This record gives sequence, structure tokens and C-alpha cells, in this order.
Amino acid sequence: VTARVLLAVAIAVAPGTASADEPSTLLPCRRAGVVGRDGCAFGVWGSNLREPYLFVDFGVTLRHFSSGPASPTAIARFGGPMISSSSVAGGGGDHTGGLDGAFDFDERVGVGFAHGLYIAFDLELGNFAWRRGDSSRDVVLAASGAAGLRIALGPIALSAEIAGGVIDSTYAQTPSFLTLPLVEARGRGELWVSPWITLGVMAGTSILRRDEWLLGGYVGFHTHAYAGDR
Amino acid sequence: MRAGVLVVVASCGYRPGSFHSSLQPFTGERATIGCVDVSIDRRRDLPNGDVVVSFAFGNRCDHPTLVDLAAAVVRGRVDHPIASGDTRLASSAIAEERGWTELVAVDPRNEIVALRLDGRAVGTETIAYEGDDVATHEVCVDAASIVHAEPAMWSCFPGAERQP
Repeated sequence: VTARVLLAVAIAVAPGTASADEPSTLLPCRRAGVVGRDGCAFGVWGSNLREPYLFVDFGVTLRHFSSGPASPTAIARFGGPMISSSSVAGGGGDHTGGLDGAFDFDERVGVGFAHGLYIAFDLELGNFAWRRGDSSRDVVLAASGAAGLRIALGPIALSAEIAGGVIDSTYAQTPSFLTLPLVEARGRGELWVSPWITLGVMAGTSILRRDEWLLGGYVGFHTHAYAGDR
Repeated sequence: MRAGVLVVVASCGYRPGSFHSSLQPFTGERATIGCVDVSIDRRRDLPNGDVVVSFAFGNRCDHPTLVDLAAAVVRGRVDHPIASGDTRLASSAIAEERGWTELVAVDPRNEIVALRLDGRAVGTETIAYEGDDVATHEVCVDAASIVHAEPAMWSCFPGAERQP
């Protein structure tokens, strides 16, 4: 399980690493060359503040689902496209043998605006560690957009957001995707461990389905020191 | 990959008053003006006689601060008396400071402008100043001018060799 998680992290990080190998404007001029000579451009040190504030989070999310993969309730409430309950061995919402959940890797990219407002895009990929059985979720994909408000409290930043998107799941014996809408209220707390790095925790709950919640932890990278809050 | 390493190395942020960063050296005369720690150094003149000055600066504060190298006041004292026929040099001489001229940055692309330095961030620039084909004996830089502060804080450097 750990290896799978590490592999997923490596894949997720890979695009950023590849782009970093390109000539980077973040690097200072080599050998302190003179501006206008030696290919040296002025103002590399100020370039980040000329761009919008961006943040990228990498973390894990623990999701708990309220009902079975294709429960009559879910189908009745949200309709297709989704698999029928009869096509899922052990499905039909009968999850008395354990919790229905997923352990996902989460990538998040966001843009900050004035007054602590921000928008972000989340992409989750799982399921890396959960009960393995016929009725457990095999692959979980979630994509969502979020809008929120962040406030700074000394070394901590707190934020609240509303997210909307979709979440897809497959099951061990059924390759079809079960697609459900996702609307969640989330709260976040982040600790600044450096001017550009945070450690954060997140908790949220579904607005559409009762007893459906999520918890997460992540590390965040920010292009503006302290998100420009100070 | 380098950028990734850079992020990790830089992640600690500049420590106020340290004049130290793993990303760049802080050499020369040191000064602290408001949120800015700056070290200024003179390097070898360019072959054409242009004076070369390096600036290394760190933001002591958590919030962004102004660093305006376009406003840096750099003065040079030439070791030759002003030739009577050299009207260019004579016009730029500062009358009340005999022998001192205000040096103009060499900026062919007009890129030297005021910028904001991020909180706890560092930066460095090396800028050439027109030497007017006359060996510049001594150079002084007003460190306070780069943050639009007063009074002036002069850092002075003796004559430097020319690069071959």
C-alpha cells in the first residue's frame, strides 16, 4: 500500500519536476553577471510578485461515503450514469462489513485574490488503502473546484470553502464508473513552517449526502510569502 | 530539478540581520534601511571603464518591500581633472562636490525598475555604471536611496582594476 501511495506521489510530482528542468526564471543570474550583459536579466528576484499568487498542495484525503456504491437511494437521488445495484457484487448499499471509504492522494492548485479570497481546483486519486473486498471501492477519482476565504491568525491561516464537482468510483469486480455529484463544505487550517510552505489539515462534509465526510492532510507551496497576508 | 532544490533551500526565508543566504553571497559594505538589509560591493571595472557595483539584499520583514535600484545614487570621483574640452563630463559634474559625478546605470533594455521584494526573500543584482572613459578613482553608493529613504547612507569603495 505504501509503495502504491509513493508511486502515485511520484507520478503526481513528475510534471512539476520536468518543468523545473527547463530554463527557470527563478534562478539568479549565473556568476553574478552584469545586468544587460552575459544574458543577465534584471529583476528575477521580484518576478514572483509580478505574477498572481498561486498555491499548490499535495496531500492525502480520507473519504467516508454514506452509502453503498449503487444504493437504491443514490440512484433515486442522483440518477445515472451509474451502474445498477445488481451489477456490483456485494453492492446495493449493503456495507455492514465495514466502512465505505477511500484513501486518496490529493493535488490542489489555487489562485489567491485580494482580501483572502481564493479559488482552487482539486484532483483526487485513490483508493490506496481501505478494506479490500468485492464491495470496496477500487479506484476513486474526484475533481472539484472550490471557492473560499482565508484569514491569517499569526502563524496559522484558517479558511472555509465551498467545493463542487464529481466523484467517480469503480469496484473490484466491476470496471464501470459510478459517478456522483460532489458538493462539499470544507474547512482548512494551515501552519506556516516557512514563508512559502505550509502544513495543513482539512475537514469537510457533503452537502448532498448525509454522513459523508472527508479528512485530509497536506503540504502547501505558495508563490507569495505568507500568501501575502502579512 | 534545480528549481525544486531552490525551493527547498530558499524555504527557510531570509533571517533579518544575518546578511547570509544559501542562494547568494552578501559581500561588501552592509547597511540596514527599514525592512531591507543590503550589502553593496564594487567589482572590477569593465574593460571600457564602466564601474560595476553589486547589490545583495534581503527582506527583513514578512511582507513585500520596495527595492528601487533605478533610484540608486552612485557617485564616482575621477582621478583626472575634468578636461576643459569635455563638456559631457563637465555638465554632469556636481558643482558643490568637486570632482564627483553622478554615474548613470548602463541599462540598454530599460529593465532596471523599482520592484517589490517578497517577504523574507533575497535578491541580487550587478549593475554597470558609465565610466565616461575616465578612470574612476573612487565610487560611493547611497544605500538609503534604493528604498527611497533619507538621510543618505554612503558606502564608498576605492578604485578598482579593469577587467582585461
